[in-house]
Amino acid sequence: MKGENSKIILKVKNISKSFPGVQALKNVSLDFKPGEIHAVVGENGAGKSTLMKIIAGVHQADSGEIIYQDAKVVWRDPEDAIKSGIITIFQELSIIPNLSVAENIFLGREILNGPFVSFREMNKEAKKFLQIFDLKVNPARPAGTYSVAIQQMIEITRAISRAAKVIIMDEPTSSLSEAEAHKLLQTMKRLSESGVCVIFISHRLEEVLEIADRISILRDGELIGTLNREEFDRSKVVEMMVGRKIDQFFIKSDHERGEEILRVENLTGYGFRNVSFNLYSGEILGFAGLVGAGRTELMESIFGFRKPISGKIFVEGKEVKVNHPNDAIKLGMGFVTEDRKRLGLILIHTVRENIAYVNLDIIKSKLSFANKRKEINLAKQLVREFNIKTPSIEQKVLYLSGGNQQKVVLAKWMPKKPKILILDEPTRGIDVVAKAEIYKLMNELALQGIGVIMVSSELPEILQMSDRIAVMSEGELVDIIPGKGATQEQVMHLATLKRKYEKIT
Amino acid sequence: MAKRGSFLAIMRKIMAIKEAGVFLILIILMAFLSIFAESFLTLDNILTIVLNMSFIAIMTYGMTLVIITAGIDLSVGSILGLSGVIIGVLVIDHGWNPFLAVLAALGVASLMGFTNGILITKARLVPFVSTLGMLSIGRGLAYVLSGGWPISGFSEAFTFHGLGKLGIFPMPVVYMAILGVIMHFFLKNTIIGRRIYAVGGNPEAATLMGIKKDRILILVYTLSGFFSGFSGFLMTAWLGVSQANAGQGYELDVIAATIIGGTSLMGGEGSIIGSLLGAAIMAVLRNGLILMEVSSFWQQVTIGTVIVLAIMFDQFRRVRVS
Repeated sequence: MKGENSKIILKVKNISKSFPGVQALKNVSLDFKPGEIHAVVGENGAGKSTLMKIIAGVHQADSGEIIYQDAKVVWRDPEDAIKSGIITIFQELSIIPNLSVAENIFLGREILNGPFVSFREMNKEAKKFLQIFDLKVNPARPAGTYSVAIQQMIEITRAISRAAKVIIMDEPTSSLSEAEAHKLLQTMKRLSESGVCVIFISHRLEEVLEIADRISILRDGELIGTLNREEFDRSKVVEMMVGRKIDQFFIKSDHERGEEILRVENLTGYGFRNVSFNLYSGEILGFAGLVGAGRTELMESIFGFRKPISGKIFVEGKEVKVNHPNDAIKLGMGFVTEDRKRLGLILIHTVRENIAYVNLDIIKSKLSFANKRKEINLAKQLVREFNIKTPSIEQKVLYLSGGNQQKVVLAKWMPKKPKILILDEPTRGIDVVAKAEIYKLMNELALQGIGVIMVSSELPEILQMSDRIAVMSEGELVDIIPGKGATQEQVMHLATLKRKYEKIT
Repeated sequence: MAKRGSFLAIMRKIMAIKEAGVFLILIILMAFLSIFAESFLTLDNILTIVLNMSFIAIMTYGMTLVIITAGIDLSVGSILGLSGVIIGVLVIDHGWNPFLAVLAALGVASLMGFTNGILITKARLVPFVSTLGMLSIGRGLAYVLSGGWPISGFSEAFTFHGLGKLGIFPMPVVYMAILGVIMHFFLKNTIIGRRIYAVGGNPEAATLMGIKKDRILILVYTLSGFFSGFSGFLMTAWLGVSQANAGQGYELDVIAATIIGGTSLMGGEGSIIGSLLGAAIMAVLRNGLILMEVSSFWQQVTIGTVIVLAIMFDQFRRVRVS
């Protein structure tokens, strides 16, 4: 063990941290080596983020110490950690879209020529760093004109340019498609090969198992264990994360396909062209594709949130005009949005209120007054049925975990008894237990005869859950294939049919 | 010990109520003034304060709705002035029945608010810009209609609504109370009220929940115009004179009262009770400073300071509670 010590760049010893009402971390000790990709996994609320924030100097530990490059360190603020070479790339990107790529990379450390910023120097320097990752990005172009994946790599480039020794990546792939995530993982691999220690937090177990050298598992603020590459095993990791076995991750029973309830004919709008498909009651229709394939735009147009340019929509055989989500809801549609924080919830309002808004007509009594008792009962009932973990229905949804927020988004549609339910990336950024619950729920909904559309960039869930899979590429619906027997390769092939990877100037 | 514990628990519960912080500030302010200004805590003086606050308070009813939707209405003072002038011109110059004249003024005031709503939703102007324009238009029209001269000579039946009393309460206070109760229930307990909060909390999410955002916005600006007009009616009745410059600069007092009352400029939060308390704080402070013979120049400084302190205190309380 002594020999190993010299190879350790960062070590946390007996770290404990509590927030009002929660013990976030209990006596956690971990070490990190240069050149390794060290994944930290756990359910939401397991303490991963808190641990990372302590390492990055955002939070101070209540007790315990951080040993960095063989010396005990105390970070007063994140800047301390950054200066010493520990750089965090957060889930929410800190790219400023209207500044150029080079300006973003050198933000706060602009290269000066006398009192003026030297853009020429900065662009030249930026290019050098970008080349490390084979990124053919124009450093003078606004960063916002590139895709999220590229922006993320620009952030990583910024970290490298600051001579980072430890890079913490918090859920970096959660908003990327499978192909883009793959690109990012390659970047991470390259980073680690150059001797940087990469600490990687992700809910996507597949990619963790694929790329990590070691996996540390946290549960309820405690370190459960660290596995070396040769010990990796999916079910073992899951078991360590949740403390019990999850028998069935994807739950899907055979359900009968009913009548056609939705038909879309030649729908064209911003981001998609000429899309035609139909949906039967009691089926789960998966929508696969890369990010930017136009799936979200298509769904938002069907739901009346965007205006399509041309095309027809039929509900139960009748042509309908959907000019506002209100029309869609009246026709029996429900929509669980991709970005639940921005579009699915009113974060500063309570669980009860968020559930009530869609159901105001149900809780309405005489003279348009809201019946408070009905409203409370409705919220309580849904919290119970959906197993939403919240101290009370009066809790602001802001304070719920991702999985529980998602359950609120989903639950609120149920009293409306929708016939068509559109789920856009329903399991993004939520932990395995909540994921399994959502799958179970989708299955139940299909059994009840609801037609479910599931947009997802995670191939395993597309393949496991869908009765039929519609694959979109660059705004066009390429093909609809039966879910049974479909393979990853088949779907990826269709999804990339037209794609000529990031067009870079 | 047990007693103390339960006392603390009760205090915490009280503090968790949104309006508690503002209420506490009001009580402290009043306690302070009753010590340092002799005639402060007399029934007459309290009634004077309540009368003084009523014009602003009624306008906060509209402003609260507007600010809950994360908007702002700068035109309220001008609409007040215009509404008063319309009543004056119609009743005195054209011999209209005062009741019909008031209805006409309220109609015009509502129409101005409605126009704000249309400009914001259909022409997609920022509320600040749209209502800033309306501020100038409203005031300008008030001068055009009146020629800049005060209009007086109202009947007693009309001025009763400003000068009259119901029991010990001046009529404007009675109106403030009645409208306050209606608006409180409208905002908290009707589904339209709930939609106003939803739109303010997150307009896009609210739209996806099937709420017609534009209609809600048009409604709140129309109501804001209506209440400004109503305040204009009461003020004209109280003064017995229509003046084109009436209510000049009131928008700032109305906004300040609403924000002190805990309505968040970020939208999605706020209450009528809070705004009433906010208006009360402003009125108590003005009154107290006059009683203490503080120069009017220093009054402004003090009021500004209290606004900032009150909002800081409220934010501190919120952080503690959450």
